[in-house]
Amino acid sequence: MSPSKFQENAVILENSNYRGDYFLITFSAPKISPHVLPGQFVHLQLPHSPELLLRRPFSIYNTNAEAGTLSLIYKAIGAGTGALSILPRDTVVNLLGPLGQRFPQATKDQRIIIAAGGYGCASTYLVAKTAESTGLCLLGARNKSDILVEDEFQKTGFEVQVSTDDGSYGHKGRITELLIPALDAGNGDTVVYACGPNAMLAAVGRLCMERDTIAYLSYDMEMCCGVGACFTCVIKRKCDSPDGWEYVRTCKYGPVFDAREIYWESDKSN
Amino acid sequence: MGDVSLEVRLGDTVLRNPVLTASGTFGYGSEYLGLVPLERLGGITVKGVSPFPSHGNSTPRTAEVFAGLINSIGLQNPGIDKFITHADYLPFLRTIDTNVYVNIWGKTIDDYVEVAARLEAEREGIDGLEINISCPNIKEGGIAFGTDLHLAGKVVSAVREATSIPLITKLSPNVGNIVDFAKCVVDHGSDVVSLINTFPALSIDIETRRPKIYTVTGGLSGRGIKPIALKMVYDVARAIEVPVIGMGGIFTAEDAIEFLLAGARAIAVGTAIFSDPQTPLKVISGIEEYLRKHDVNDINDIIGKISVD
Ligand SMILES: Cc1cc2nc3c(=O)[nH]c(=O)nc-3n(C[C@H](O)[C@H](O)[C@H](O)COP(=O)(O)OP(=O)(O)OC[C@H]3O[C@@H](n4cnc5c(N)ncnc54)[C@H](O)[C@@H]3O)c2cc1C
Ligand SMILES: Cc1cc2nc3c(=O)[nH]c(=O)nc-3n(C[C@H](O)[C@H](O)[C@H](O)COP(=O)(O)O)c2cc1C
Ligand code: FES
Repeated sequence: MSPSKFQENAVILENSNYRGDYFLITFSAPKISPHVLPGQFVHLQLPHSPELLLRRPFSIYNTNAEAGTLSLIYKAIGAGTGALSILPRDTVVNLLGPLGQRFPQATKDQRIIIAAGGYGCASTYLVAKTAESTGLCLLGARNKSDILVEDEFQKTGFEVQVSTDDGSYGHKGRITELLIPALDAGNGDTVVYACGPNAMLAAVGRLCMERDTIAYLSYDMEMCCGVGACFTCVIKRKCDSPDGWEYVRTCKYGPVFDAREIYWESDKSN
Repeated sequence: MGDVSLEVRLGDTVLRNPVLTASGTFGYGSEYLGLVPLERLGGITVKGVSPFPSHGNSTPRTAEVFAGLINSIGLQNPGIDKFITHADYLPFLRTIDTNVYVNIWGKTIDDYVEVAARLEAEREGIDGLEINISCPNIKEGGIAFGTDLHLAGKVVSAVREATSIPLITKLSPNVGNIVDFAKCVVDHGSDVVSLINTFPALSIDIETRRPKIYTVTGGLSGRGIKPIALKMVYDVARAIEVPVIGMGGIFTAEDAIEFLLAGARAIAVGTAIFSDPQTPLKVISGIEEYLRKHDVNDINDIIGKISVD
């Protein structure tokens, strides 16, 4: 069952450049904020921009239920995120949320590994913040300036390791090169939480499945309605159908999926 | 000030107000539970249902364009069996206090007949079937029936024989003269006609030189199509006796009132819901305000009342 969702006129409390193309925006959103679970997202309508017809989805990075606030981290990459980045404090922004299914919670005895590529840190931070155990957080990106909220992860008690493609910070190479030894070092039950580009999710999913480790992957598919009404945001999930897969709506049944549910292209031949 | 009546009739059924949701833009209603008070809508038209489950098209399936949206979902749906039995679909729709219209499609005439016959046997809670002969996004069926007068007539009469549920036929704008199609489907037993479905359209990412949606072309909806849709509704409403449901780019009450003045008995809100799920409710209250402002007690008094010298 998906928990209650709301449509709310949120007010921008802060919208500032975090670093490079990344921005941190905080809203007063007292209806949505107390109900947010790790991995959920809001669907944001851009004010004063009727030509930007569609809402834009963003993972909820952090909340403060008492203060009734929630924050997002976003990368200004196009018309919508560009328009968002210049909205001043006190602007009213219509939000739908919290939407989607949460990252399932690990138990006290499970070791957690978070693997976040780019702004994938935004959807996984609440996992660390609300975890009953601690673990390891892997942050991967193209270069140093794309490594975000490292300190915040550290403050949750998670150990943080970093990889960059260009070696400008941390390990030079891919996040999966940090993940493999981390998975293999574990003795006992490990749960992996991942968010990032689809190719990274596929690699993380495969490595975990090879080791019988549970991996929860959060997918960013382009969205339209955000609530399951339009069938824009679908992804292939295994099922009993003759083809062995069905298209499921990521906004409603995701964006978080157990890697074992996903129909991988490599499943085709089986 | 007296009460204003928004009630309209579509054939044998009464709608508490003329505002419907357009097929494919409001899922099966349950998706908006808790966000939109469904019982205040005039009715819900659900996503197209076929006899067989259908994957739909590959992704990406939608692209935002200036003044509209291009979509090529490809009529993904669970198939009639699951639609009838699964709690998210018909059983849910039966629990809500609003009119329910089921959009149906198939690859062959037999497919249309099969869905209609299955729904005839399960008709409780269904106020009408909307025969979709106008989807531009599937290879077989759909628009092939909506752009050939002979086939359009054949589908409608075959469905008519399979069910006594009120029939709405959804027309394609991609024809030489939409009025001919409206007359044809009415002659073959359609109780109501709805228009318009989307226009074939293309958008290209100039950096990658790739089309923005997987099937290359899709159907254009939204603000940009409104004046064309309005003109078609105006033409059709004057030419046939049966009620017309008007749609295409309705975002505001003013848009909806234009359609009513042009002769639409009811209207449907589609793409606008993606921007704001409250749009249908805002349209309802805006129409009510308009009627009060103009001292009109009954919405039927403005339908078709465009004033042309
Ligand atoms: C569940 C979910 C959570 C997300 N969380 C975040 C987040 O925390 N921070 C963040 O910065 N972004 C996040 N995104 C991506 C964000 O929604 C897109 O970057 C945004 O919609 C782009 O809008 P735009 O108008 O600026 O870009 P557009 O001009 O629409 O597009 C620019 C480019 O972005 C690509 N794009 C558009 N929509 C998406 C999408 N949904 N996913 C991936 N690429 C897209 C387009 O293909 C294009 O190449 C998330 C997406 C989803 C589905
Ligand atoms: C995402 C999407 C899915 C649609 N699916 C259907 C469908 O299943 N059956 C149908 O008859 N029309 C479908 N339509 C067409 C709409 O019902 C409507 O006719 C059209 O979008 C024009 O109205 P609008 O501009 O208000 O959206 C779809 C439209 C969109 C945007
Ligand atoms: S975005 Fe509409 S179904 Fe997911």
